[in-house]
Amino acid sequence: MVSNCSSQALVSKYQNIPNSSIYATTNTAIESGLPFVSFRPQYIYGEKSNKWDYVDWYFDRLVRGETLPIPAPGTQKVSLTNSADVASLLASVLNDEAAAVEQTFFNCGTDELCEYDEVAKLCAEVAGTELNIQHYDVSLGKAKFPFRMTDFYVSPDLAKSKLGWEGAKNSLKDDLKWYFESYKARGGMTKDISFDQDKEVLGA
Amino acid sequence: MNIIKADLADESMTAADMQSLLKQPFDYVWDNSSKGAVGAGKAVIDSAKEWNSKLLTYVSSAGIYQPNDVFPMPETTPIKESAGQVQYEKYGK
Repeated sequence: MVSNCSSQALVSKYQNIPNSSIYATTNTAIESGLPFVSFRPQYIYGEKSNKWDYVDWYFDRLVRGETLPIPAPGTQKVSLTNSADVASLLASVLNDEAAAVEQTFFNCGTDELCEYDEVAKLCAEVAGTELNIQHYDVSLGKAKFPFRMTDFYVSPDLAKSKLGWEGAKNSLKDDLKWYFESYKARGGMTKDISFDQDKEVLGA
Repeated sequence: MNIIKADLADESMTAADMQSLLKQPFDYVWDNSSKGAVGAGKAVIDSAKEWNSKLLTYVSSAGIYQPNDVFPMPETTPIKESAGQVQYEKYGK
């Protein structure tokens, strides 16, 4: 628990203070210490970011006619966030600094989640390719798959309610158009890629 | 706007080093680089404390979460205590 985390740290710092004083002390400590806020982003992409591995994984296979090995059941959700929306989240602390410091920890990601299979379908549409997905048993391992084997996603609800963040202005579906152009410009169509690890989990 | 380039992966950087690079204090600090409370990361926090900054905003990672089957993962999800980002969060807080 976040509240427990911060309380524990303060309790250990002020362990000689009687219990009845802890909450008053906590407030004083927060006011007199460094006002601190921490955002916890997930998977990021963006025209000016350097994070290309996640979505490239899909295009690498689609444009080469390779089967996409996706850990079963393929309905796991992922938060893929445009870096411009990450930036607006980071700036939203200025909407209410006191509320930001009081909460301290914020998830940082789009409010538009996609399923692993859905990302594949969107990419195939943009690239104009066939889509061949094979779901494989997660016990076989991750191979080169860019996301977790199981669900691992956050929601930015606290940033919305406490910082007045308006939500993501970009969506993966729209962004994949420029993303695919970027993929081609970065040499994605012609680079050498080994699919050996894919073949292992596909049993091919 | 003034851009100063420095190696923020430098584990030997101190708060004094950072302050001599920046030449002035800052009320608002965003740290989108540090992976732990060492070197330049520690220097950012120490400097913000010395400056009495109004706010230090850190970019941690959701990778520190150890989910317990609650999705979407709330901010109260258990975290990996050994992660560098957690060390930073604890030192900054």
